Amino acid sequence: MAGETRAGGSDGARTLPPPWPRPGIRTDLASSALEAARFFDFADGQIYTVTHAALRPCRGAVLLCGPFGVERERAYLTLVLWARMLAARGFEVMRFDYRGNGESSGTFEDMTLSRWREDAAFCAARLSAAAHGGALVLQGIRLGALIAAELFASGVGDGLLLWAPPASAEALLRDTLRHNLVAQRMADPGSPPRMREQLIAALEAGELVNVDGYFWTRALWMEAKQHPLLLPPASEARPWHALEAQSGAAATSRTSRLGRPEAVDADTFWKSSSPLLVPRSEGFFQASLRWLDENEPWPGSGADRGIVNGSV
Amino acid sequence: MVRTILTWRILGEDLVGTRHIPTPGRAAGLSGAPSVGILLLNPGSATRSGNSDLSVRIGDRLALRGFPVFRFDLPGLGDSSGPTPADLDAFWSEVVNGRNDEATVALIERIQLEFGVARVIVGGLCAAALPTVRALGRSSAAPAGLILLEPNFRLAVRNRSDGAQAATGSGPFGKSAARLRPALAALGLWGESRIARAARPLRAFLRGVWRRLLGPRLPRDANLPLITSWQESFARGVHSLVVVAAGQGTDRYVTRILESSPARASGVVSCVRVPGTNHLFTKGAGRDAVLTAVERWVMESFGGNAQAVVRRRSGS
Repeated sequence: MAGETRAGGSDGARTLPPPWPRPGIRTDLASSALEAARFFDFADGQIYTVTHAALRPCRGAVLLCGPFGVERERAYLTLVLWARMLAARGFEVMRFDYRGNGESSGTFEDMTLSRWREDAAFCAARLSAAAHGGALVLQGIRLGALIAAELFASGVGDGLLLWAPPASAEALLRDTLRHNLVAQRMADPGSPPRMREQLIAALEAGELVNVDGYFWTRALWMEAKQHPLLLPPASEARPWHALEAQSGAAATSRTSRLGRPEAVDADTFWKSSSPLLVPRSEGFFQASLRWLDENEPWPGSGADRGIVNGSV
Repeated sequence: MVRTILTWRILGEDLVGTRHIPTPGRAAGLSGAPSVGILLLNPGSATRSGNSDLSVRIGDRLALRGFPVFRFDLPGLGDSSGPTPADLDAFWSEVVNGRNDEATVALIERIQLEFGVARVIVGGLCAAALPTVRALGRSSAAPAGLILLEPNFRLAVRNRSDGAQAATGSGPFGKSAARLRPALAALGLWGESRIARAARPLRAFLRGVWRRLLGPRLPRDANLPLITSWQESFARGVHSLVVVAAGQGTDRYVTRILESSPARASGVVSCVRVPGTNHLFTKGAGRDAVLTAVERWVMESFGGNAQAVVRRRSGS
C-alpha cells in the first residue's frame, strides 16, 4: 500500500458491499493472511494483540477496546468479524486483551479499570505509531467504552465510537452482578437465593466474589466508583458517536449529535443467550460504517492534511 | 510465566495458538526438549482461553511444572481463520461429523515435529472430547493421554436442565418415566417444587436399583462410536483424566459409560467429581478444583516418567 494515494471519501458516496456477512459464510479469506497475533511486553507482563491490516488503501486505524470477563467471551466472535469487516473497508484494526483477561498475562484479581486503561493507552500508542500519522479512531464496547471515552477526553484519538456504553463502571458491575445472580438462579433454582447487595457488601469487606468464574476484588469494585462515562462536551471538535442495541429499532439515515446514543436494531451480543455463535449485530455494523464514512476525511489524518498515505 | 504466539497454516487455514513455555528443571527428569506436551482445544465454540480463562490457567500451571502447553483456536473459532457455523446446533452437528478431527491430528503432528515433543496429551472441555478421542485412532498422532473436562458423549446438543436431561432415558424405564412425569409433576413430585427436590434421592436410588437389575446400559443419545473408541483405549493403557461437575448431567453420563466397562477402566481412568460447580466450572471453587486435578494427574501419570531427550527434528 506504500505510495498509494488515499482513497477519497468526502463525497460520502461509498458503497457498502451487501449482503452482510453471516456466520457459515467465509468472510475471512482475504483478510486472514494479513492478521497478526502477537504479544507486546508492557509493564510487568505481556499484552496480547491482533492486528488486522487494511485490505484497501488505508483510511485510518481503529483500536477496539472490548468488554471484560464473560462479556469478552460472548462478544469475541462478533468483534473478530467486525475487525475483519473494517479491514476489508480500508481500516487498520487492533484488538487486544486487557491484562488478567484472555491471552494477556497477569491475574484478574490484581486488575482495576485504571490498569486496563493503561493497557488501552499503550495499544493506542502502538497503533498510532504504526499508522504513520493516519487518523486513529477509538472504539469502545461496554467496559471498553468507558476506557475509550477516558482516553479520548485526555486527547488521544481523532474520533470516538461507543457501542453500548454503560453510565459508569459501577453501573456496569452492578448490571453484571445482577445477570450473574439471575443466571445462577435459573441454573440452580434449589440453591438459597443471594442478593446483589450481599455480594457488594462482601466485596466492600474485602472478600473475593466469584462472578462467572472471575474473582472480583474490593479494589476493582471501589475503583469502579471513580469511573463515570466521560462523554465529550458540546465544544468537542473531534467526531464521536454512540450506539446502543434496541431490538426492532428503525435505522436512521444520518448521524446525530444528540446527547444520547443512537438506537440500532441488534442483539446485545455481549450478554446474549442466543444460540447464534455471532448474534445479530448488523445494526451496529451498518451504523458504525455509515458514521465512519460520513466523517471522512478525518481531522488530523494524512488525507485531511493533503498527505499521501503511507503503509501501515 | 512466558507465552508465545504461534500461527500455523493447517489444512488451508491460519490457526492461532498460544504456547506456554515451560519453566526449566521443574518437571522431574526433564532437560532439553520435553518428552511430554499438552494440547488444549477450544471448549465448544468458545475461544482458546476458555470460559473464565480456565485453559490459560491450566497452561500456566502445567508450564510451571515443566510441561510445554499449547492452546489453539480450531478453524472458524477465536482468532483462527475459517468458516464459523451459524449456531450451536450447526456447530455441534459439524463437530459430531468430524469438523475438528483432521485439524487436531495435524496440530499434534506439528507440535511433535516443531518442538521435539515425543508424546502429546490432548484435551479440553465439552466438545473438545470428540476430536481428542478420535485422535486415538490415528497411529501417527495418537494422544499419550486424555484430559476430558465435562466431556460430551452425546449426539445432540444437551444444555438443558437436569429434568430435561433425564427425559432422554432409554428402554422401558425411560419410556415409563416419560409417561409418568406429567402426573408426578401435577402431584408436586417432579420438577422444582420443595417436595420434588426432597424426592430426588429416592428417585436416584430407584434409578440405581433399576440399572443394577438390567445391567449397565448407555443412554439412547450416546455417541457409541466415540464411546467405543475411548473404551478401547483403556485396554491399550492410555491414561484419561475425567473431571465432571458432581451430580450434574455429565457426571451421570460418564458414570454409565464407565460402569459399562468397569474392569478395563480401572487403573487408567481417573475420575474427579467437583461439587458445587457447573458445566463450565465457573461456579464455586470449580476452577481451582480443575487446576488441582489436572496438575496432580499429569504429574502422577507423566511427570515421573520423563524419557530420554528427544532432539528437535529437521523440517524435512
